[in-house]
Order: sequence, then C-alpha cells, then structure tokens
Amino acid sequence: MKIKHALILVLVTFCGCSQNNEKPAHIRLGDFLFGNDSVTLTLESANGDSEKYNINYAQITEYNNVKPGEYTIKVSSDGKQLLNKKYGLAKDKYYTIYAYGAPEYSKEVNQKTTSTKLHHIVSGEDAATENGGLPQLKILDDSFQGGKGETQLRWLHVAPLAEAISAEAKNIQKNEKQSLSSLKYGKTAKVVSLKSGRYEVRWKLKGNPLQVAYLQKVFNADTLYTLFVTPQPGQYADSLQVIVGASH
Amino acid sequence: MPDSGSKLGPLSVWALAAGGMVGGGIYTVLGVVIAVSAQWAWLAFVLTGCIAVPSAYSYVYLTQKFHKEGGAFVFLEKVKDKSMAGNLAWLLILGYVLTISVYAFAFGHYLSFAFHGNPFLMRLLAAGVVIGLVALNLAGVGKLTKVEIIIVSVNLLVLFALGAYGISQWDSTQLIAGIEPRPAWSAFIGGAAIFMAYEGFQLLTYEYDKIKNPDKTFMKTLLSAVIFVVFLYILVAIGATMLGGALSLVRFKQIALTIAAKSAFGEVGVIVMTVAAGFATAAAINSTLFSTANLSQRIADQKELPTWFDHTNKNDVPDRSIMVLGGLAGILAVVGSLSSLVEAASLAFLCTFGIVNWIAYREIKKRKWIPILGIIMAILIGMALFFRLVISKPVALGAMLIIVMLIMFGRPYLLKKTGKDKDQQDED
Repeated sequence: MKIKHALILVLVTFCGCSQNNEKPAHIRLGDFLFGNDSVTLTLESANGDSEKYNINYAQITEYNNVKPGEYTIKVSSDGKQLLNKKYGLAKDKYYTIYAYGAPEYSKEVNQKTTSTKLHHIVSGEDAATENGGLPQLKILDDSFQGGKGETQLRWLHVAPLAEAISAEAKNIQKNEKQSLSSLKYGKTAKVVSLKSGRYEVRWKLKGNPLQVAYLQKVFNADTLYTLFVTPQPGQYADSLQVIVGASH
Repeated sequence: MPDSGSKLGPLSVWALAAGGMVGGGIYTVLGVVIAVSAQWAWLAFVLTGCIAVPSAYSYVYLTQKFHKEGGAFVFLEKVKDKSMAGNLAWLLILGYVLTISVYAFAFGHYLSFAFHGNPFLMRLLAAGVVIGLVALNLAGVGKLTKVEIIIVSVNLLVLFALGAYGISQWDSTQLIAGIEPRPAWSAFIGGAAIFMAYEGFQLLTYEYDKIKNPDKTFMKTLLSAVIFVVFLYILVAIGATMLGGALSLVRFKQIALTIAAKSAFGEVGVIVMTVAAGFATAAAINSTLFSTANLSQRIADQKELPTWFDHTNKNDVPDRSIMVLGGLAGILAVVGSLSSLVEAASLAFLCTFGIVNWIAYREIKKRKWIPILGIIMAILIGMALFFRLVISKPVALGAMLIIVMLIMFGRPYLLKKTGKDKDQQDED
C-alpha cells in the first residue's frame, strides 16, 4: 500500500507541475550548398500540404511556425532535386534545418558514399560523415540549456572537404579564452556555455597558426548562438565566412 | 553465513535486482538507442530483454543446481572448465569496471548539468563519486542493503511516473522529432549498443547465500524483476521521448532523462531527476564495486587472478581489488566517451550471458528452449554490435580484441609467474 500511495503522490506532483498547450514547431532554414546561388526547400506534410522557401546561399532565415507533424523535406536547386528526407517536427521545439555540401547535379537524389551508408545503418542520427562532400540535410535542436545569465555557443564546419579547423573564443572585456573544439568537415561542435559579453572568435586550420575566419560579436545572455563556417560565395572552398544564428 | 533474520526476503531481492539493472542503465543508454533506432527504441529493449530473461533463468537455475554463490565463474568451475572460467572471470571483471565507469560518467553529467557546471566539474564529480565510494568500501561500510533498497524503490517510482506521464501525453511525432524515421531492424543495432542496461540482475547470484529460502523464491523473484524492468524500459523509452522529443534526447544523451523531465516539469523535473539519478548511479556503483571486489578476491583465491588480490584490510574488505577496480573505473569515466564505454561493457556482458546460457543448456533437463533463446539472441545481437563497432569504432574494437587476446594468452603466463613468485616468497 505504501508503494501505491507513493506512486500516486509522484504522479500527482508531476501532473500538477505540467503544462500542455498545443503549440507550433519553429523552424529556420539554412543553405550552405557551396557553388549555387539559392535553393528551394519544400516542406510537405503527411496530409499533402506543402510550403516552399527560397533561400540564398550562406543565409539562414528567421524562425517560421509550422504545424507539428511528420514532414518530407525536399531540397532543390536549378530545378534539380538534391535531397529528400523525412523528419518529425514536434510542438514547441525550435529547429535549424540546413543543407550543406557541394552538389553534383548529374547524380541522383540523396546520393551517399558507401561509407556514409554504412555509418547511417549502424549509428543512425549520430552518423556524421563527410559523404565525399556530397549534399546532406541535417537538423539541429536549438534549445538553450545554459544557466541564467549565460550565453551558449556552438559552431559547425560546413566548408566542403576543407581541412580540420580549430576555434577559440575570447571575452574581450575579461581577456578570457575558451577553446571551442576542433572539427572536421561536416561535424558540429559541442555547445559551450560562457558568460555573456563581447567576444572575438578565431578559426584556424588545426595545428596551424593561419587564421581562416574571424568574428567579433556581443553574445547576449540566455541565447544559443550557432556559427556556421562556410565558404564565401564565388570563392575557393577554403576562403571562409561565418554565418550566425541566434536562438532564445 | 548470515542468520535467517538478516537474510534477504523476496521483496528485497526483487528491489535489488530491478534497481541493479535500472540503477545506471536507463539514465545513460536512452539517447544512444534513440539515435540508432529512433521510433523503434522500445523494440530494442524488447529484443535485448529476450536475452536478459532467459539469462536470468539460466543464472538462477545454475546457482540453485550448484548451491553456491559466484555466478558465471563458479558455473564454469563446476562444469570442469577451469581455463574458460579464468578467461571469463577476467572478461567479467573488465565488464564490471566498464559498467562502474558508465555509472560514474552518468553521475558526473547529471549532477554537473543541474549545477550548470563545465566539463571539468563533470569529470571531477565522476572521479569524486568513485573515490568516495572506494573509501566507504575500504572503511567496511560498502554494503548498505537497506539504504540501497530504499534508493532503488524511489528510483523505480520516479522512472515509472515519468514514463507513465509521458505516455499520457501521447504524441507520435515526438518519437521522430528532429530525426529521420528508422526501419524496424535498426532495433537490433540499437539494442546491441545498450545491452549493458540489463546486466545488474546477476549481481544477486553473488548474494545467493544471503537470500531467504532461495530454492522456493529466487527463480520467481528474479524473473519477475527482469520482466518488470523490460516493461519499465519500454515505458520510459516511449514516455521520456514523448516529453523531451527524440532529437533533444539524442543531443543530450548523457542526461536524457533530465531533459525529458525538464521539458515536462521545468526546474522541478530537473531537481527530481537529478536527485534520482545521483542516488541511483551512486548505489549502482557501490553495489557493483562491492560485488566485483569480492568476486576478484574469490577468483584470486582460486588462483585465477594474481594472489596479490587475495588480500583484506583490518575491516576484512578486499582492499586491493577495490582500489584497483575503482581506480580503473574512475580513469575510464574521466577519459572515456559514453557510447564507447556502454558498447564495450555491452560486448563483455553479451559474451558472459551467452556462455551462461550455453552452460545452462548443457545442464538443464527440461525447458531447454529458454537457454536456446538466450543463446540465439545473444549471437544475433552480438553480431550486430560487432558490425556496429567495425564500422563506427574500429580502433576501440581493435583495442578490445587485443585485451581479449591478452586475457586468453597472457593470463596463464601472468598467473604462472605470480604463482612462482608467491611460492618463492613462501619458501623464503
């Protein structure tokens, strides 16, 4: 009986604290497909509704509200479909959906190298391969999980097949440095929590003093900043720029 | 031998078995299995449950047949395979060290997240809990059965409530929220990666001499505990995903249940889950450390480990075993990654459970289908894990194979050498 009572108490406590309102999913979209000017992302819901978004290269949109549910997301460029994936978009969640890589327009949709196929089989969502630089579609969870007054940073290496890059953030006022991980192409760094303030972030080729990208910015409290390191349009893949997305 | 008054009744055995499995398991493996199997994560727990339940049957059958505590090592000794017993004992100890490191890893992450700590604090907490529990054991207060029963009971209640509440908020989109749907067969690979979540029940076979009326109650109690845990894991796998969403649990796989509780109940959820995870993982570390140290001493006594381990301090505690096991586990918890530790431990226990089912198959007279099911599932899941490791962690797999080779070929040499040294010392 004691166990029964305790169980009821725990359930009642949990139920009393919960809030459950049907809310939309929030998505922002990014295009980092190197070598094109823009892409079209189409979201098709299970009941046949669809929405199209045109996005320029090296751009991420503001958040858009969509009805929660399962979606087929298609990415096309120059009238050719490159990617076609299914994802669930849950209520009250914030996501960044982004495409990256260097398209080969003569090839089929969702083209994968053998290594990528095998990694996808055994690791599923944790598989993060270069895929030979071919286009890939990924989703990021944009929830802020830091402490009160903190800011959070993460960065992504989306410069197709460029060498491994290391990053370091420096709080300008306090002159404190924080390593932000070294990444190979296609990987996402772990989120780092920092004190809010003005920072400069430097990216260098790993094990090399050569700086390849630079950003100076005020990182506000209670915000997750996502920094995409991607090639500059019309330049070589190793001439890099930083695109910033903020999520509250 | 303990008197009948201090012996463990069925309810205590049930709580310790269920708590031993759930203690660290579900806190660490949920995000790993969702990443691989997405909406089929629950099926991964069913498939691995099809190894755990027959293995529990085999363990109890063999323990009752031989009337001796000690688990797989004793079973092999009794069936006159001393060499295999030694090999398996070393593999088992390796598995326990990995398991303790996973629990310490989870302890560090859950507490560190609650205090908005950095990676350094996480590692400090992981190392600190191992050091603290090593000290507690060395002081002779390692086995606190009553405290452990209370902790695991509360832990089971919290997990059950979280799972049940999650199910009540049913929203199938959450199962694939932010991730791609996966085919049903992915549950084999997902299950392979997290099999260690079921290992805890067999620690009870080391306590056989402390169980009240084991011939009458042990089988029913242990089997019902394992079956309950299979259902609890299914409940939590679905319920927590309903609350946290698949991608969030994958992203924060080290603290997946806190994320689920926070999504549903805010800071209250974080506090409740942190307390539950902290106590549950600490209790799991403590009981695994205590049992493994005693097992090591027993194995050393049988000359299958260097006799250096067969040593007790003034509190009659196998001090050297505890310090070596705790030290290794603490280092792994600080330097290892969650997925690698969980998979290495899973591989060790898949081998162990497969062998125990094989012994049971040879010894059992009726219901042979039960160990056969355990063997078949262990082979299938073991192959899936091997395939996963070949593709995703070839270096880690290579290291594990080297360790196994060292155990098989280096162990006899080491034992011969340490035995000679001991004989020499005795002569001197």
